[in-house]
Amino acid sequence: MIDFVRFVPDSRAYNLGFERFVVFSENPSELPDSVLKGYLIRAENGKELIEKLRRAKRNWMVGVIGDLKVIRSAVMRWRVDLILDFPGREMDYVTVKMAKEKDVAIEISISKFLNSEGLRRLRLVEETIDLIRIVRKFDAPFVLTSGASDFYEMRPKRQIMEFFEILGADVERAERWMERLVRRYTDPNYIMDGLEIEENFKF
Amino acid sequence: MKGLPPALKRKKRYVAFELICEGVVDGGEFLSALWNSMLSLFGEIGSAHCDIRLEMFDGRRGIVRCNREALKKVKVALTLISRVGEIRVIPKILGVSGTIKKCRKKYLEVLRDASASDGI
Repeated sequence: MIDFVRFVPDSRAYNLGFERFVVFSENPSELPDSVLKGYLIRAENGKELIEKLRRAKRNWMVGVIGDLKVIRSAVMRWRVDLILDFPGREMDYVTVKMAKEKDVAIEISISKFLNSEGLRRLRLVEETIDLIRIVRKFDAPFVLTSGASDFYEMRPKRQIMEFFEILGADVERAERWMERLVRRYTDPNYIMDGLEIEENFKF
Repeated sequence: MKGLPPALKRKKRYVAFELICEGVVDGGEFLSALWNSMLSLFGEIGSAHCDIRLEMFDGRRGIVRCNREALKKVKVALTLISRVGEIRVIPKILGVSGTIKKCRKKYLEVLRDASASDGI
């Protein structure tokens, strides 16, 4: 089982049932090799996004944070793998549809629910339910993660899934999208869905 | 309500959990955090008939009893607890059982004695 986080997890994090982590950082070259490196791009506008995308290395998973304009231009870029979740993220119908067409995954994380309460959490729940409905309609790629920025924001995988199940998410589908996304960077035999190199095949 | 015939009695479930935190957590504070989470998430009507009770708690591990129909709600409310008093916690659900005896044996005793070297 895999989780997407924003910090380098220690041994305690592995006790929560995860086998590996994708760590998103603005400086992935400083991350240890024990984790999968993710490049977190925080951009104010499209120009900054393109500039930062040029710095991305081939083995880095690329995730983008920004306002709606930035997210819209991010889903058009082939190098972007993921639209990262953060409090205050805006997503609309058109962006989700484009994310499906361009095969860019949408992250939905539990950490923002842990850090909010009352009316703020109510709004978050509303927005997430709407987002999940649109994602389900287009069958857009999406991943359910903890999105934790420290150890105490992490939750066991099964509990994350149960929470999003209540909000209407298809958790099995989410798991498949996540595996597919990670395989792109970890499995050298993987080319695309339904097309991979069979090593042991003999003529 | 007391004196209900067995067919009308609500079925119970026992949720074994562990709090991953630094320090020891007070049982009363934990129960109040669980109720706050329930009320905040599901409201008063949604939390009614959940029959939540803290059966046992040693500061780290414990068992919560709830109504069978409210099991999902209780699990989600447990998941969303991030602080008990001033202590930051990660509530980890170890498992769910229909009887307290089995719950204690399977999730608290066996898991407490488990080690990677034994292959458990």
